[in-house]
Amino acid sequence: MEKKATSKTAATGSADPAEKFVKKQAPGRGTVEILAESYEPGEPEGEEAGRWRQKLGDRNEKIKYLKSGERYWYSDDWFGSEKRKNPA
Amino acid sequence: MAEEKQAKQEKSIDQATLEMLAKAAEEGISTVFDRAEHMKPCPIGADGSCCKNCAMGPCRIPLGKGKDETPEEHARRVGVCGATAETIAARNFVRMIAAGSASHGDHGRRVVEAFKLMAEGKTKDFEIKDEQKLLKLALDLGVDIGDRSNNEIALDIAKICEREFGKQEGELIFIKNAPLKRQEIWRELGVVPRGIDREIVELMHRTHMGVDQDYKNLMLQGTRAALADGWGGSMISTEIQDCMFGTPTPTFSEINLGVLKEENVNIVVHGHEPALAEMLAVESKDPELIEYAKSKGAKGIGLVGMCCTANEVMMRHGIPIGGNYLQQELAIVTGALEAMVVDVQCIMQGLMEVARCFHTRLINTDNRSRISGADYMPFDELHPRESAKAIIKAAIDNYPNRQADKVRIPQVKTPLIAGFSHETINYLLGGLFRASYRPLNDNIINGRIRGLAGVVGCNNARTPHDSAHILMIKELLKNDVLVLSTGCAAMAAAKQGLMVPEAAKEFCGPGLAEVCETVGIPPVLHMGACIDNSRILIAATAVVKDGGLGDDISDLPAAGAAPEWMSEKAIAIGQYFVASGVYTVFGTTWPTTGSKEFTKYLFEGMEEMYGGKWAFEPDPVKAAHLMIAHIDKKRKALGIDKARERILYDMAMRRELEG
Ligand code: SF4
Ligand code: SF4
Repeated sequence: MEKKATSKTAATGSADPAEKFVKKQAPGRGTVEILAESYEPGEPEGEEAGRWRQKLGDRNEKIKYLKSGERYWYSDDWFGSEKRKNPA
Repeated sequence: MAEEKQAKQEKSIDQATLEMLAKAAEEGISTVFDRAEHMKPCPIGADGSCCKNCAMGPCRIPLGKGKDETPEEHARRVGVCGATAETIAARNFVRMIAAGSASHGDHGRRVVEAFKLMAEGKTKDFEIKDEQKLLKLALDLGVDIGDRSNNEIALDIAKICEREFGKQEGELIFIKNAPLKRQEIWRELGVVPRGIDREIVELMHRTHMGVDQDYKNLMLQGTRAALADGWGGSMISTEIQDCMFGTPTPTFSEINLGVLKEENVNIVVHGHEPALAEMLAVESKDPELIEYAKSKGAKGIGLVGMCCTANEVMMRHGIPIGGNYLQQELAIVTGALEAMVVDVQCIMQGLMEVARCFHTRLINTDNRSRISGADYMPFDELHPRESAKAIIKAAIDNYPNRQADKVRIPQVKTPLIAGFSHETINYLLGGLFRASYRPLNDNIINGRIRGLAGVVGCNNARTPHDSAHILMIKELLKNDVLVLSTGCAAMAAAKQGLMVPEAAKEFCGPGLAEVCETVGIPPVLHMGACIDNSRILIAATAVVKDGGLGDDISDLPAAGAAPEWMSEKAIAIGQYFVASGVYTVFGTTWPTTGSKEFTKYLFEGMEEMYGGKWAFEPDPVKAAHLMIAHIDKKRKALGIDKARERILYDMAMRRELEG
């Protein structure tokens, strides 16, 4: 998702964004102080905001992404938990 | 008066719904909420203790409430043919699975038919919107890519998918999308579906009078039919719809009856199959039609979704959602609808009576689902654009018939971000060049995310509208459980503001909030319509395959729930989740309590076979605790329960460390 370009520091008025905290109820530990949100306020703009799939150009690029990203678990030299197993 | 208000409030937690219920009451219009009050559920049927599978019955064999029956009493509790409480409860249960799987399967078949027409060039109105998904399917199905055109590839894919319905032997192809260990479990138990239709037909045969009389054997076939839904009919629908209409990507929209605009010609599209809705979405922007609407005195055309069709067009076009299942009649009660366009599934027959009180035209578009009294305007698959145009025109022509004094639209709507397909989650977590579930797995292992929960399913007029969904989801979020949602459950969450990134800060435990804020995602991810529960299966498989969390779905710190279920499809979905290794909790009511033995088999016995099992808990917060306890059990088995304690440092603890 794209976010608005306004800088977070400007939005919070603080020099170090990491210094923004909030108090929250943590299960079993009462009130705790944690880092506040780090995303920019606001909503993505325009219909195109979330359309990441269009970033891939031609067929070769798409197939490359499929092999390295979306389908890599199904490739012959997969990795992860099933590495040691025989192909289905 | 105060009591009356209290009673109304108990019907829904949603303000728009309460306002429209009040309007319906003022105008003497009966809704599902009133009918549920007047007709109590039959306690014998509710427990699954009634059989009408032959004309010697119906046989009613209720289990006496509040006392344990003796073996002799149990032995006397049989139907005329001698069928036991176990057989009767199991037959009723698996028939629900058959109906649910048939619904998703038939939806899938229609989608494949439309896809084939497109590939053959017989309809020009649809095209491949997502070549990426087409190529993925080609790789999955072993279809040659080379320099072939998209339509040539699509035609091969269509033919393969078409065969999946009528296949008599072998295995459904998409079974191979499951983790390897899961496939082995299914093969050992003999529950791998051969063909989608075959498993449903065999299940209907086996529940006929005097056939399968062993509840465990009935459940094996029930499981096979359910898997033919989740890893068959539903998965095919989702994949082909993505090819033709686009794989969902993050989309901003709005939800609730307040999305209706008084000055527009308002059309609600309701049901399940997205082909017509897609065309309506495109054609509602046609300048000529907009001009035509203006010529009738309106400002424009407002297309709004309802039920699962709403999820489909919202995720792909940002079309706003009017509401979920229990709000369908209330959309008409606003008095501002020119047309409600329906196809199949979850369309209440009561709609017609409500429509008669207003100028609203109920337009029935599918020959499989005719509605007495409604206008029938069949959807022509060869000319979808023409069909959509004709329907929109009919709605516009109806605008002058609107009675201004009957219009009242609740000013309630909420923003949401949806469109979290498995592909989008993969991308969001890793980006285009590192797309992977790794960050999710890492955050589960380090304990920021305690586990995953799929909260899905319907609304049910027997339980306060949306309430159980929200209580459950909030409890899960508070405990750092990331929620994936579909169907009417997703809409409930969206209406309460849980589907925007800002919700993370307000509702989540510190670990989950941190992850959501870093990635910029809402803590409840909208994954689509109820057919898209197959996306959750694929996401779960992706987590397994990425590594570090066991080698099967049943190893994951994850659970599923349908707290307000009502549809037979929900039972089919629940069973394919259980058989895929997921602990699955249903609320509201449980349909097998007439047989303690069969119920115990579902609630305990299934776990030994599948690693997943059913549970029933009508209290949504308690149900959430059951899910969290299951998640913790899995974390312990994976040896990551300690890591959780280590990682959750709040700022005070960190400062202490640094000091
Ligand atoms: S099949 Fe048996 S239990 Fe069912 S209605 Fe017929 S006689 Fe009764
Ligand atoms: S979630 Fe249930 S009620 Fe809602 S559309 Fe799907 S099946 Fe129907």
